[in-house]
Amino acid sequence: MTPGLTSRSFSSFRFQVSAFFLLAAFLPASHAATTAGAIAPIPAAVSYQQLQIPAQGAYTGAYVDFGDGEDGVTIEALESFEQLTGKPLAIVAFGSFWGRQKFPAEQMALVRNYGAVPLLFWSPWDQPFDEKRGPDKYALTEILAGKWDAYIDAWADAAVKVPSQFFVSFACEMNGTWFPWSGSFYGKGEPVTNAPATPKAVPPTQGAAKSPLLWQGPETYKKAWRYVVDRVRARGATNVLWVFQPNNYSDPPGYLAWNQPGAYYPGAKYVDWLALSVYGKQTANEEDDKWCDFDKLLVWPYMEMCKLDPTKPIMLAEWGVAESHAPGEDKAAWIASAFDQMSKYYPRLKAAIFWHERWENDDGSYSNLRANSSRSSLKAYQNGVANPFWLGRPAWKP
Amino acid sequence: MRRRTLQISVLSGALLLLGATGYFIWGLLIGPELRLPSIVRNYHEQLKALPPAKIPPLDAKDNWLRILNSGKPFTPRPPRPESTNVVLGYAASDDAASLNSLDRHADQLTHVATDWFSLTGVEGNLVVEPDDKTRLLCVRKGLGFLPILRNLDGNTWQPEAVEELAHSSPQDRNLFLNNLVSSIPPGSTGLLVEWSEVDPTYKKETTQLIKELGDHLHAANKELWFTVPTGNDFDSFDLDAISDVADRLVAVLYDQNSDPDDPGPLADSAWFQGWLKTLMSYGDPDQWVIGLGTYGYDWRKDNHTVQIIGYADVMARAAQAEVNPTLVDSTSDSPHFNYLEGEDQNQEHEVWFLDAISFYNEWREAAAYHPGGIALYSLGGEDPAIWDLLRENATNAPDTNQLAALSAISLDDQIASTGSGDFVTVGEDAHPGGRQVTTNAQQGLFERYTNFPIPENITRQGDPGLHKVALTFDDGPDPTWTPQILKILEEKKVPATFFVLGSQVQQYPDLLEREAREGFEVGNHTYTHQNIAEESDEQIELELNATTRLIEAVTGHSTAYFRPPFGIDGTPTQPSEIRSLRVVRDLGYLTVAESIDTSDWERPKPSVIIDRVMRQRAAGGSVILMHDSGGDRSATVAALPAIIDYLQSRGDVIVPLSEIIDLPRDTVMPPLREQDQPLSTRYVYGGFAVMRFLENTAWTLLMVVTLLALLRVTFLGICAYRHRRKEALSPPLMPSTFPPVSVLIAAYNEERVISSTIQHLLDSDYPAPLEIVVVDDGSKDQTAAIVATIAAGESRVTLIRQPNGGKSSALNRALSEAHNNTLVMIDADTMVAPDGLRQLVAPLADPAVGAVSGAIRVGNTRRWLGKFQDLEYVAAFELDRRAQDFLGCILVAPGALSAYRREAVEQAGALTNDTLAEDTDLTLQLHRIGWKVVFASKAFADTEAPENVKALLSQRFRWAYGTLQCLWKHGEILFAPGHGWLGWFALPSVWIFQIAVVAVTPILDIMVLWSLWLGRGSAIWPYFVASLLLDVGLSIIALFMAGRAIRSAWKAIPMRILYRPLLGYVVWKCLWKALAGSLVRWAKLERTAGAIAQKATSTVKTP
Repeated sequence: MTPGLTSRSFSSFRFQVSAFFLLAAFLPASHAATTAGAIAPIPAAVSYQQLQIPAQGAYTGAYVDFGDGEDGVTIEALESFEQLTGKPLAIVAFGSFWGRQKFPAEQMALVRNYGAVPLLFWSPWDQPFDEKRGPDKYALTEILAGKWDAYIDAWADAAVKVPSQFFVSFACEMNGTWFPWSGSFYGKGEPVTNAPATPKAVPPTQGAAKSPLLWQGPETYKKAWRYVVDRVRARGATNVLWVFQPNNYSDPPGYLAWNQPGAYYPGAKYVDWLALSVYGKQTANEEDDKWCDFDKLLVWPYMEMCKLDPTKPIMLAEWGVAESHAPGEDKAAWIASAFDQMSKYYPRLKAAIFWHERWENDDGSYSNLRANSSRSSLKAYQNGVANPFWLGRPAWKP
Repeated sequence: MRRRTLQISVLSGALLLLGATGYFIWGLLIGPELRLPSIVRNYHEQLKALPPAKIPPLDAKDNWLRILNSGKPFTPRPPRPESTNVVLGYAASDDAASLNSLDRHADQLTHVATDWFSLTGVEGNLVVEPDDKTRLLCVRKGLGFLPILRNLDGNTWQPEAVEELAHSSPQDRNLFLNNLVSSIPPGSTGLLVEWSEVDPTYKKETTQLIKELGDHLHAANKELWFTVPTGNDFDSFDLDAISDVADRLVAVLYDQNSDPDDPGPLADSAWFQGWLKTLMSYGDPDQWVIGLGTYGYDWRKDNHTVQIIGYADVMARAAQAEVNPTLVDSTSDSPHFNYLEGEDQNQEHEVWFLDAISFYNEWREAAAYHPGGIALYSLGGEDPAIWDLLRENATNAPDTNQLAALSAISLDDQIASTGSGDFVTVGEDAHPGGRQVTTNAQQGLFERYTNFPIPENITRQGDPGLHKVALTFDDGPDPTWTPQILKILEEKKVPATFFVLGSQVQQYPDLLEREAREGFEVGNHTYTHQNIAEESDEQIELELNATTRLIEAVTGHSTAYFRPPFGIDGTPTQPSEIRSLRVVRDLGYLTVAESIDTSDWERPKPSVIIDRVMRQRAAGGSVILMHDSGGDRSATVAALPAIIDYLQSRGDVIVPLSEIIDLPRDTVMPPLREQDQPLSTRYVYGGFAVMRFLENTAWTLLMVVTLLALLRVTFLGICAYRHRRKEALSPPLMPSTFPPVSVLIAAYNEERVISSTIQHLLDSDYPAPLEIVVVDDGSKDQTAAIVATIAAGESRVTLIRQPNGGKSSALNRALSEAHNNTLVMIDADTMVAPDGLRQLVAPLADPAVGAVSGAIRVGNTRRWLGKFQDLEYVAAFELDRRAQDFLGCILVAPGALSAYRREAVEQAGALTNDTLAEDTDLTLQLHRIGWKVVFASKAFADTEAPENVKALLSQRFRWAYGTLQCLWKHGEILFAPGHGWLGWFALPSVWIFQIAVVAVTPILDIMVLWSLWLGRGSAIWPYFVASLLLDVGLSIIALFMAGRAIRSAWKAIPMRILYRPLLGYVVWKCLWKALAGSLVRWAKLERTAGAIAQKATSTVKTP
C-alpha cells in the first residue's frame, strides 16, 4: 500500500535438509513400520466424484504463496500463476490450520471452481503459525483426549458437502523438528512402556517383528492420525483422500530408526496417497544448507515410500528450491532436472506440488522459491511443465 | 345559451386543471417521508472510544540499534554555507487533496516527487504511468520535478525485477538504463529511485546497478535521488558506495510500523533519532533530504486491514468516536488512540498519526545535522499548521504567538472521510478544535489535545467483508437494453439494483414495474441526470421527489437509495459536493457510490469491461457500476454473463445492495402505507401519466404540424405560382376610362404622418377625378389642424371632424360624406404608390367584383423588427392572398389599402363595430352576399410597421383578437356548402395556421429544449430542422413570386427563433382573453372591445 514498506514475513527456514540425512540413504530401513490391521469398514463413497490416478503422466500442482496461514486463496493468484507458467494446475495446495477453527469452504469452492483438486494441509497448529515452538493447544495428546472432537466433527460435516474427492495431508513432515506435531516433541524414540490403548488397532508390523520396541513419538502420532481419520469417516466424509506426507529426510536423521518416515505410517487403511516433501537448498547459508541435486533428494525417500505399500500412488506434496546466484548453484538446472527425473525414473509418482513462495529470513536475507525468482528459473519451469507428462487438469472417473 | 354552457364548462375545466396541477406540484415538493436508517443516522453511536494502546517497546532486532552499536562512528560536521534548502513534497496522483495542497503551498516547496515508473516482473518491464497533472503544475509553479521509479506492481513489491536486472549482462543493463533515462519526462530535475525487498545477498550487484544508473543520469544532466529505507531494507544497499554517486539521499524516517505490521508508532522519537544518527554517518550531510511523515494509519484489528489517512480524517474519527482528547498520548511524538466501530461495536481500530507538533520536533532534530533539506510524506495528509512552522527557522524555539497559533486547529479547506464502504453520508457539521502546546525541557514542543476539530466530512458504510459483491445498473429503464439485462440476471439467478431516472420511468413504467416485481432493488438516480453539485437545493429536492414519487407509484415501494449522476470518485473535494450530499442526506436518502466502475458508458469492448471488473475486484471493490441505458449497451450485455461467472468462480456471492449495508429490505425500500402519504400515490402516478400523455401528444403534434406545414407550403406554392402565371398570360385589364374615386381616411392622433399620406394620394397618377375625405376622429393632437391647412389649399381634400367614435364609425361617416361610387379606404399612415390607385381600382371594371385588396409592404425596414415584418408581409400575407385570389376566396381586403364598390358596401350594411377587425368582417360579409373579392397584386402601398416589441404585440393582439371575433361571428361559413374554398380552405387555414399552429409552436420549441436537456435531442432534431427548412422554403417561394431578392429568405431562421414566440404569446393571450372574457359575459366584452377599438382607431391596421 505505502511505498517504503517492507514485508516482514515471519516464516523462517521452513524446512532444513542436512547433509547428515544423506547418510540415512545407506542404512537399511529395518524399522519401517507398516500396519495392516482391519479397522472399521470404510463405507463406499459412491456418491462422490472419484479422482482417477493417471495411468500415464502425473498431475502438476502448486502452492501459490497464500500468505499467513497459507490459506489466502484467490482466483487471481491461481490464474496469474497459470499465465506465468503456461500450464493450468490440476492440484492446488493450501493450509487448513486448526488455529482457524473452521473448514475452508470458501477456498475449496474457489479451487474447485478454478478446476483443480484441493490439497489441504490440515495442521493441528495454533496462531501465530510460527515454527519450532513445540506443541500448543492442538497437541496430539489433546486430540487423543477428545478435546477437539467437536471441531473435527464440524470440519468433517463441512467436508461431507464437497461433492468430489480432495486431498488432506494431516500433520505433515512429522519426522522433522520444526512442526509441533513432530515425534521429537512426543517422547522421540523412548520405548512405549504401557501397552497402546487399542493394541488390536496396531498389529505388529514387519519392522516391529524384528524389533519388538514401540517408540513413543511415532506411536502417539499414529494414534492421533487414526483417531482423526476415524472421526472424519464416521461423519461420512468418505470423499477425503488421506495423504501421508513425511519430509524426504528426517531430523533427527533417519539412521535413528524411530524417526524414519515409515515409523509414522498409520497403515494402509488409513492412507490413500503416499507423499513426500522434497526441497533443495533454501537459504544463502553455506554452512548449514548445502546445494544438493534433485536426484539425490528423492531416490532413497521414494524407495522408502514404495516399501510402505505395494500399490498406493505417490506424490511430491511439496517441492522447490531457492534462487541462488552463488557459483555452482543453478536453480534453473535444478528445476529442469527435477521435472525431467520425475517424469522418467519414478513410475509411481502421480502428482507433484510446486512450492511458489518468497520469504524473508531472520538475518534479512530472502528465500526465493518462486518459479519466477529469475528469468532462467522461470524458463526452466515453463519448459519442464510443458512436457505432456504433466497433467494440468484432474481426470475424474466417469 | 349555447355560449353560456360552453363558458361555464370551459371555466370549471380550467379551474379543475389548475387545482389538479397545483396538487400534483405540491406532491412533488413535499416528497416522500424517508428517514435514514438508524445505523446511518446515528453513525457516531457505532463508534466508541477505547483507552489508548501502550507504546510498544522498540524491536531489539531493529537495524539501527544493531548498526549504531556495532557500526561506524558518527562525526558531526559543520554546515555548509552554500547549502540549498530542499523541501520535497510527495504528491499522490490519485488524490485531489494532494494536488490542492501542492497548489496552495507551492511557494514553500522546492521539489515535488510523484509516481511515474514501475519496474515489474522477472523480466524487469519498465511500466510508465505518467502523472502529467502533477508534472505540469510543478512546471507552472517553477518547482523541481522528480518522477519516482519503484519496483512495485500494484501493491506487490517486485524484488526479482531489480535482482535480475542487477544480474543481467552489462549490455542488457546499458540498454535498459538508456531506455529509462530517455523516458524521463521533460521538466524533470532527475529521478527518485525507491526500491524495496531486494535481497541483501545481492548487495554488491544492486549497488553496481545504482552506480551505473547514476552515471547514465549524470550524462543526461539529470540528478539521481536515492531513497534510503529504514528497517530490514536498509541492508539491501551499500550506502558508502551509493553516496558517491547519488546527488541526494532521501531518508524514509517514517513507516516505522506500516501495512503488514501490528499497530505501532509511525516514527517514535527514539526510533527517529536512532535512525537519523545512523543514516547521517554516511555521505555528506548536505546530500541528505530527511523524509518526515505527515499522515496517519488506521489499523483495523479484526480483519487486519490498514487505511492510510490524512490528518483531517484522523481528527474526524477521533471526534466522532468521542475519544477523550486529553487521553491522546503524544509522548515520543507518537500520538494515537483506539476506538470501536460497527453496528455491534465489534471492530477495533487503532490510529497512529503524525501532526504539526511531531513534525516540528523531528524537523528540529534533523536540523541539528545540517542536512540538505526535508521531504514531506505526503502532501494532502498533513496537519495544515506545518506550513506556518515551515516559515520559521527550525532551530528557533517558537514564541508565544506561534504557540497560540499552533493551539487553534482549523481544518477549513479539508474534507475528511471515516469508515469504509460505498454508502456515503455527510457527517456532522464542521467546527474547529484545539490543543495545548508547550515548550518542554529539551526545547521541543509538547502537545495535549483539548478538543478535536471536525472538518467537513463524509462517513462511509457498507463494508461487506471478503466475498459479497453487488451489481448496480444506472440510467434505465430502457426498452432495448433493460430486458436483455433482466433476462441474463434471471437466468443466472443473480440479484441486482437498478438506479432509475425519473424521465425514463415516466416513459417506460412497465419495465420498472417488472424490475420490482421480479425482486430487484430500485434506487433513485434523479429525474433528469444532472450533476447535483451544480444544482440549487430546491432543484435537487424536486429531482429526487419526482423520481421517488414515480418509483412509489409504479412499484408500491419507496426507496432510500440514491446515486448521484456522474458518481462520486473517492472522497468529495469540493464544498459544493458536500452541500449537495447534505441536501440528499436531509431528505433521508442513502447515497450509494461505487468501488468498481466499469466505465461502460465509454463503450469499450466487452473484454475491457470484464478486465476492469477483475482488476478492481481484486483491489477490494464491492459495488459494481454498469449502465442499462443511455446509449448502445451491447458491450455491457455481452460482458455481463462473463462477469457473473468470474465473480462466482472467485468465490463471491452476488447480493442485493441491502445485504452490502446489512439492512432489511423494508428499510431501504419501505412499502407504502396509505396513512404515511401526503397524497395518494395513484394520483401522483396519474399526474405523471398525464405528463407522459402530454409529451406523447406533443410528439404527435410536432409531426402533424410539420406535415401540415409541408402540405400548406406545397399547396400555396402551387396556387401562387399558377396565379402568377395567369397574371402573366392575361394581365388585369386596364379599363380605358377610370371612375371618379373617393379615398376615405379615418385619422386619430396622426399628426406625424397624415400630411405625407395625403401628399402621396395627391401625387398619384390616377387619371380620373379624385376626392380625399379625412375624418378626424376627435384627435387630441394637431391632426385636424394639419389636414385643415392642406384642405384650405387643395379642393380635392375634405376634412370632417367628429367626436371620438371609433374607426368604423369614422369610416362610415366618411362613406356618407363621399361623393363617388368607387371607394378606396386607406389607413392614415399608408403611403400609396403613384400608380397604386389606378392598379387598385382597375379590377372594379368587372361588375361582379365588390372589393379589391391592395398589396401592402413594410416601409420601415431599417431595424430587425421591421425586416422580420417585411418578410412576414411578403411570405405570409401576400403569398396567402395570391393563393386565395386564385381560389376566389380572399379573406380580407385590408383597411390599409382596398377599393370597394359603394353598392356592395351598402348592401353589406356598411362597416360595423362588432369586431376589432372591421375589414375582415366587411370582406366576409361581402362574400356571404355574393360579391367577388379580388387581389390587385401590383397595387402597392407602404405602411409603417411597429418599431418596438410593445407596439407590435399590441397591434398583433388586436389582429388576432379581431380575427377570432370574425371567425366566431361568421362561424356558419366554416365547412358550409356553397362557400367553396372560403369555407373549406381559407377559414380552416386561419384556424389551423394562424391560431393553432402559432399557439403550439412555442410549446414545441420548449419541448425541443426539454428534450435536449434530457439528452433525447437526437429524435426531435429532424423535426425541428424540417420545420425550419419549410419556413425558409416558403420564404423563397414568396420572395420569388413578389420579384424580390431571394437571398433574404435565410432571415426565416432567426425569425423562427426570435419572432415566432412573440406571435405565439399573442395568440395565447388572445385565447386567454377570450376565456376570461366569458367570465364577465360576452355581451359586456363586446362593449369593452368597442372601447378598445375606439381608442385605437389609427393603429388598427390589417394589411
